[in-house]
Amino acid sequence: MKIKSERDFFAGLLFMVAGVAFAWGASGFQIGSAVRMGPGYFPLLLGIVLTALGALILFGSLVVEREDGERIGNWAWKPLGFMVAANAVVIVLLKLQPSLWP
Amino acid sequence: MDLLANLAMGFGAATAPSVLMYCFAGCVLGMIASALPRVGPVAIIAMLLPVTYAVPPVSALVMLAGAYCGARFGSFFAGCVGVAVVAVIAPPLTELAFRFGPAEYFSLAIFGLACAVVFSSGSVIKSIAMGVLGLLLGAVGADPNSGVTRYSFDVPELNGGIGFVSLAMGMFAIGQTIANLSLPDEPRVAVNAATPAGWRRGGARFWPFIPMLALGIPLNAAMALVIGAMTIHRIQPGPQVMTSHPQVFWGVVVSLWIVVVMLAVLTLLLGGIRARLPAIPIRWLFPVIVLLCAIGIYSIRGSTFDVGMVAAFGFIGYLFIKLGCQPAPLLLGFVLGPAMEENLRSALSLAQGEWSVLLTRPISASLLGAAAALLAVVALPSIRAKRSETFVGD
Repeated sequence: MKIKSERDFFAGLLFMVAGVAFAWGASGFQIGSAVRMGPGYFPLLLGIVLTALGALILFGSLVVEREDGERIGNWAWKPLGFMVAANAVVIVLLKLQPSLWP
Repeated sequence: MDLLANLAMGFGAATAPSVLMYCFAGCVLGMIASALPRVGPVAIIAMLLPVTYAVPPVSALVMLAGAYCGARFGSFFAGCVGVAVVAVIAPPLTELAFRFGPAEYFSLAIFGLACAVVFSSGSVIKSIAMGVLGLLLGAVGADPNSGVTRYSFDVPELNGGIGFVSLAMGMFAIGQTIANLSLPDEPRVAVNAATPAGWRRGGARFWPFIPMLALGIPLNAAMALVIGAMTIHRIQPGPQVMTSHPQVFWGVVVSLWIVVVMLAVLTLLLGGIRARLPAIPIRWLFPVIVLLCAIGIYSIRGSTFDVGMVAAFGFIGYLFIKLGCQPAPLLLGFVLGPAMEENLRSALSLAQGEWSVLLTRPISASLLGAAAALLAVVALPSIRAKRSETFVGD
């Protein structure tokens, strides 16, 4: 089977993983019932919905024909790396100098 | 008569010296932002969010309104029409707010999410999934009802939930800028506010404020951020804002006029500087944005964890842009999530656990129906093609 939209394929996969993770996490809380919703009720429901949506997007990416293959393209590694490094430096400097910051 | 009294109250709130100062600051920043290459109003509003913690709600919202309109020039005429519309819808809105129960608020949030999906470009189903993911991210932290802490991984900083400002800054200021850095160069077309085209453009830019203030419905990402700023001040978006926070409501409505006057003056004064800003290379702006975000987020509660969260959401935001997923529905879902869960809980518990209550109450049913109709209409292929043309570059 060929991926017809790379972007949709990975987006669908991401949503499915997130949906399953949230639903699985929610099953650890008390679910309750519709009359008395427990802390797990709402996240479990939404996790299932998100998984279903992700599956639908994934299915579409394999079936629906696109013009250009919707490739993800090159990653902007340099700006990403600089951004993460800059924030890491900020965190380290703030941690090193606690006396400066009340 | 009521309208005049309300406008007078709004005028009083909007012309307080401190409010005018924040309004002025917002206008200047918005104007500068609109002239900078590839830095949109949404990024500027996201970066201004830490300030909203420190100031009263009217000042905060008026500043954001100034930043938004400064970037998207408005006209006095459009402001007048906007106030006229508010005047017409105000009485029915007050009436409506009295009839709103938990079921209606839940359905209104669904309708708002549907609007955020419809008015963001790209695939409808991916936008819906982003909205649902936003709702789930909003569930992180202590559940107010049961006291159970959800999805916090024993990180104490997450007990209060994911920070709205770190999410907004990461996604809209940092993620978007990283994506913009890799775009090929394009010539920027200056929009002259004095021409009819500029006016029309300006007129359109005021409109999103009306549904945002009146019903809590965001028509673009910037309005989703403003709604988030309202929730920072514990103002729940919806038709009750006008009655529960009249100063905020009328203050912002009146301030839209003040913003226009300020911008007209500022355009004359700052026109020369503004014309030279597009020449600044974006590689110089990016470090400034990253640094301002780090300082801003740290200023809120002195937490280095939050700085890391901004970086993490910056990466996630960039990832979503690469995957063609719109961040606006996610942000709105995140903002509305906690109240939505609470309203659903109350509605279902009042109705003995019958989900049908959402459809048997007329206002709730019509909101859900409208949401479904909106989504069905944009899912049609012919409109989809047109929509991608309309919303490109927004």
